This record gives sequence, C-alpha cells and structure tokens, in this order.
Amino acid sequence: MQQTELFTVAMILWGGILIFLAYLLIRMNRIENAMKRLKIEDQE
Amino acid sequence: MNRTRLLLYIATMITGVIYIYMTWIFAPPEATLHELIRILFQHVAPALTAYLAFGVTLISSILYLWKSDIRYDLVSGASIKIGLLFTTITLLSGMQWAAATWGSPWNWDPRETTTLILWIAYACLLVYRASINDPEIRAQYGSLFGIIAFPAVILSYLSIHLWNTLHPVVITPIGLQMAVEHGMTLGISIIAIILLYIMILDITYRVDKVNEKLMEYRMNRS
Amino acid sequence: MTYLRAIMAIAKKDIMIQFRRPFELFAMFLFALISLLAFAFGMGGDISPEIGSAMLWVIIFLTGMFGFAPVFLSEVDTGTLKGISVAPIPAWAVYLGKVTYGFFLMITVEVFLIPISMVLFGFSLSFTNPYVYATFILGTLDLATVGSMASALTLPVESKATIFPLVYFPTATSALILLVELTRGLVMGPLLIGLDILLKLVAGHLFAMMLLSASIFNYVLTN
Repeated sequence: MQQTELFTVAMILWGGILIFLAYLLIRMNRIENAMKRLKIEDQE
Repeated sequence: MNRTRLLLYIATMITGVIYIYMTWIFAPPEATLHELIRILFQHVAPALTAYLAFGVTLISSILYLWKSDIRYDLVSGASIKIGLLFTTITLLSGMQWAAATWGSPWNWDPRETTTLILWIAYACLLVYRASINDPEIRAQYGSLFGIIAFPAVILSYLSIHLWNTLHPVVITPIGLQMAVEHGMTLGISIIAIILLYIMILDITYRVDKVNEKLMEYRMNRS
Repeated sequence: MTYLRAIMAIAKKDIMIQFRRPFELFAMFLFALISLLAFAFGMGGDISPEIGSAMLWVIIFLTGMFGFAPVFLSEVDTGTLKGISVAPIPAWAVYLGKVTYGFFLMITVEVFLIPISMVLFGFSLSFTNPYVYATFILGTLDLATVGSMASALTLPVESKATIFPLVYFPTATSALILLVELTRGLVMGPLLIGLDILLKLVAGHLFAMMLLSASIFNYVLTN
C-alpha cells in the first residue's frame, strides 16, 4: 500500500524531470535539423 | 564545454545521488507518518524551487524592462517552463500525500487551490508569450505580464498563514519542526533540486537561444 | 481638475458611442443570463443562498472576461489608438477613462443582473445596507481595472479573443476570491473575518492594481 505511493511519487519527480529533459533534447534535435536544411538550401 | 558548466553538472550529479541516498536509505521512518515521510523530501524542495523559478522570471522581467537586453527575456521564458514543471511535480506529489494522509487526493484546501491558481496563471503566461510572433514585442509584453503574475506566488506561499488549512507548516520562524536526520535530508533535497533547476535552466536557455537564432535566420531569408 | 475632465471626456466618448449602438451592452447582459442559466442547470435547481450569492460573482467575473476585452481593442479596430497616444493627455488619464467606461458597462449590466439572480438563485441582499453598495461598486471597479489592463496587454496578440481571458484570469482571481467571501458575509451574516477588513482588502487590491496598470499602460502607450 505505502510502497505503491512512494513509488508513484518517485516516478512523478524523476519522471517529470526526465520528460522535460527529453523534450529539450527533441527540440534541440529539430532545431539542428532545420538549421542544417536551411544552410544546405542556401548553398545550392 | 565550458569549465564552470562542467563543474555545475558534476556537482548536480553528485548532490542528486546523495539526495536519492538520503531520501530512501538514510532518513529513518517517522513516528506517525512512517515511511510516508519520504514523500516530504520530494514535495517541499520542488515547491520552493518553483517559487524560486517564478522569482527568477520576475527579476529577469524587471531587468529586461530596465536594460532591454533580449537575453533577460530568454531567461524569463525558460524559467517559466521549469517553474511549471516543478509546480506540476509539487501538485502531483502533494496529491499523493493527501490521498495517503487526508483520505482523498484533492480537498480544495487553500494551499492546493492557490497552488493550482499559480499553475494556471503561469500556464496562461506561457500561452500568452507563444501567441506573440515578434520577439521584441513578445519580450516587452511578456515581461509586463511576468511582473503581474507574481502575486500568485505570494498568495500560494502565504496561503497557509492566511486561511485555516490542513497543510502542515514545516518551516517556521523558530526552526524546522522535525528530527535532525529529516532536517538534514530536507536541506540536501533543497540544494539538489535547486542545482538541478540551474542546470535545466542553463540547457533550456541555450536551446531557446539557438531557436531564436533559427527564427531570425528564417525571417532574413523570406 | 483638468485631468478629471480629460478622464471624463475619454469615458464620455465611449459611452456615447455605446448608446448609439448598444449591442455590446446587450451582448454582455445576454452572456450573463446564459451563464446564469448554465449554472442553474449545473446545480440542478436546488441552490442554497450561500452558493447562489457566490455564483453571482462568478457570473460577473465571466461576463467581464467577455465584456472588457473590447475596451481597448475597439480603438485598434477603428484606428484611433494613434490619435489617443499623441493627444495632450497623460497615459494614465486615458487609462482611467477606459476604466470608467468599463465600470459603466458592467454596472449597467449588474443593475439588471443582481435582482434577476436574487430571484432565480433565492438569496437576498438588503438594499438599505451601505456595505452592499460598497461591495458591488468597489468590486466592479476592481474588475474593470484589471479588465482594462488585460485589454491593453492583448493589443499585440494574434488571436485576441482567445488570449484575453488568459491575461484577465491571473489578476482577477484574487479579487474574485475576496468578493465571493464578502458577498457570502453579506448574505449569510457575520463571518470569521469582519466585513470591514475584507472591504479594506478589496480597496487595497483595487489601489495596487490601479497603480500597476496605470504604469503598465503608460509603458504600452509610450512605446
């Protein structure tokens, strides 16, 4: 009973932080791809 | 990679590991709450850090209006997102705790209500900022809104003193109302989460800055 | 004195326009009636005086969300904002004129709304009690202050009607909490906190918001 609650809270804290970091990573990736595409288009 | 940045990341990792160790192994069970005391270390620190994040938003908004340097606005925008993340964590872990000790996850307790208002207010600010295209105007108006929204933080912080509430008061002017081991763990948890906040703020700021550059690049091309 | 005349001139201009085509006023009133009906449906017809009096302020809050948005935006539609910003009137006087106009709109709606909701929600406010007048005048002025500021802040936004409530909410909610508490005290009798203190809190909130919004508006108009 208490163990599930403790586990949920740990998941909320660390899961939340990890999800946010993953969001940043995905966003960074997309920005980099867009940058690359724009630069290639400009060179052509 | 910058040297200070590397040091910050290493310090964050180390305190993070110490924090996890102290929360789950070092801290003894409490007399009345038993094992549930471990929720406290994952609830108070995110709450205080969320207030800190919104405070950073306020200060950098004021600095932007004063100096009109776009970098302050980027910090302000990044801090809103992280503040919202920590407010969400606080609300959800608080709901778990309330379910365990008060019987139901949501009781419309003044602390819960004002924290929900805080969450909505800053979510409104985030959407408001996203709805303005011009970065200069977004910075100006977003900074004004960033100042207006701050009373919600004060309301949430003071709510336990203003109304009768079920929410326990842990940090009093006399000192911490708990055992020494728990106080130590709480202190470490606050340091660890604040370091984590600074680290995430740094990363978000840099991502936003690159994003801003990309937008500028696109603007110039078209 | 000259400032007061400037404030009144700004307010009078808008009120005259409103009287020529009073559809905005009617729209606000109808919106208030619609939300009143929606709340009555939601509570299944069995409404205690305590809930009913609180609902009245919620309806006024929502009507403000709907009605205060065009206070400044109409100037953008007609292209007169530039004219106002170069007129020899200080920005805060323009702002107070707009607040007066918003206050006028809302209080006109309330004159009809309060008796109707008293009958439909089954609570009573005594009209000989000066606190009742103080509550509604101060409360409406407070919401008008916040609403006009939100309207000024929505000027640069893309989809104005969608974003306005988001700007209105964070500042108006604290007033709403106080006003609901105050009206509960008026309807149900004395509370834990005295009515005087609550009224002073509302007045303090109003004063702080007015100061803040006037300075914000000064910034908006000069930039």
